[in-house]
Amino acid sequence: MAGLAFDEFYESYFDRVGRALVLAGADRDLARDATQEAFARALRQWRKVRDMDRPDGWVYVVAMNQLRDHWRKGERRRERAPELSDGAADNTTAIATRLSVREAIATLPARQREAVVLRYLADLSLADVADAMGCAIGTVKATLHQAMQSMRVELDDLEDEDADR
Amino acid sequence: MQIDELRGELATLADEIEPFEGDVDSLHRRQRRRRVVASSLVVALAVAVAGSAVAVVRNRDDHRVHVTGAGPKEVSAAELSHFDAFVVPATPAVQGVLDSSPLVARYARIPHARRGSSQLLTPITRAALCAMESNDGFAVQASSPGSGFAEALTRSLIGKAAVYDVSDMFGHDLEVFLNVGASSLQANAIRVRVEADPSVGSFRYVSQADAYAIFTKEFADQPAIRKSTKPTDLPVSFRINVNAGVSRETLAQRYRQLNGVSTVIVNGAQRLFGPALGTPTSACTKPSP
Repeated sequence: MAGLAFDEFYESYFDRVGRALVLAGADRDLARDATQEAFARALRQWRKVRDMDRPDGWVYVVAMNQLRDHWRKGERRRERAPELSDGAADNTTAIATRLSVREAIATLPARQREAVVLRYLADLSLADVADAMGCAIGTVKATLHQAMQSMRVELDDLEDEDADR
Repeated sequence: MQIDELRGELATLADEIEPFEGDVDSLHRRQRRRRVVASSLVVALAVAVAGSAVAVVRNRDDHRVHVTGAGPKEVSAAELSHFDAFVVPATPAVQGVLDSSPLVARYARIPHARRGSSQLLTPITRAALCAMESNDGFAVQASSPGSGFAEALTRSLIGKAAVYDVSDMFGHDLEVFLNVGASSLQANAIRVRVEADPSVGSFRYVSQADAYAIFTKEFADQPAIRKSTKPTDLPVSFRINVNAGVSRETLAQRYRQLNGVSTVIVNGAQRLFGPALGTPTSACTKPSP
């Protein structure tokens, strides 16, 4: 992404990162602050960040670290459901699936929710998720496995995907 | 459910969240403020560099056998809490001019040495340190500080020595910086306080326009920083010289607590005689911007 202008990058990803943090369990204010802080840091070292394979991945990781720092300080509890609307859906199967995903995500423990959002929404590699969560890749895999079990995602599918990484 | 379905559902859930409106301008403003703080740190760092230089003088003074007599205005570096110019080289002829000139209040000898450089040093300070790598110099205090001092001294010393105007950096005991965008009400309240303060010998108010003029001089060799900064990004400040016997640190501490004050930088003895910076590199190499 060499030559990428910061403003353009910000425009493309600010909203996405903010939404991901809400899905990971942050309230809107915290999600906005953490995202803004992550982009501020990206701006400070923009020459380095823009040349990365995934500048957005870097921002997701930094923003998630912000959330974790905030939570660690105990300033706000996060064991709560993400703020989601009752979005309309096009057919009953989709509604059922979506409701179950929403419900499942809302009931996941915080660490599992973070892992799922970073891995399957932000599409980060297992290594990047491990960085963002401050743990080993093996721990990320175990956390994702537990989350997938709770959400009844087919484990065979997960095994195949992890094997590719 | 398959992984792909999960991805799809997560994306849909994310879409249902109310959009986030970013504010990229506030990030740029914040970045500029960081640079302004960096420019304040220029002062602190340069003082520390010069301090390490002056500390060497003091230590040498303690053990030195004086071969030649000191001039009547020469003081030890420890007594010089602020100064307005470096003069290089420190020859007897130059010393004669400084002693007889009404422009000069006092001066101290700085022995030649390699004292290190930093990208944060201003071009003029770097040039002075570079000149003092091979020649002794004098740190000179003006009898009445003002913008014309260095020019007038330069005229008196034509053919004898170079004069480096460092009054913006070392010409005051402490500088009280207000927050960027502090209200004129806050600035006035602080001015009233400074005017009435019996510890304050003299002071100068540095407006945003003054600050910008200083800033462009300090960053003359760094066009990228200069270009991205407007006068309104810079804080106003008060440059203060304290009366004899007043603790600069105590005074600074008092001003730090006032409403609207962002930071107070002390140029006094504590910094001047602080530890030397790390391994010196030559100040004569121009840093890349």
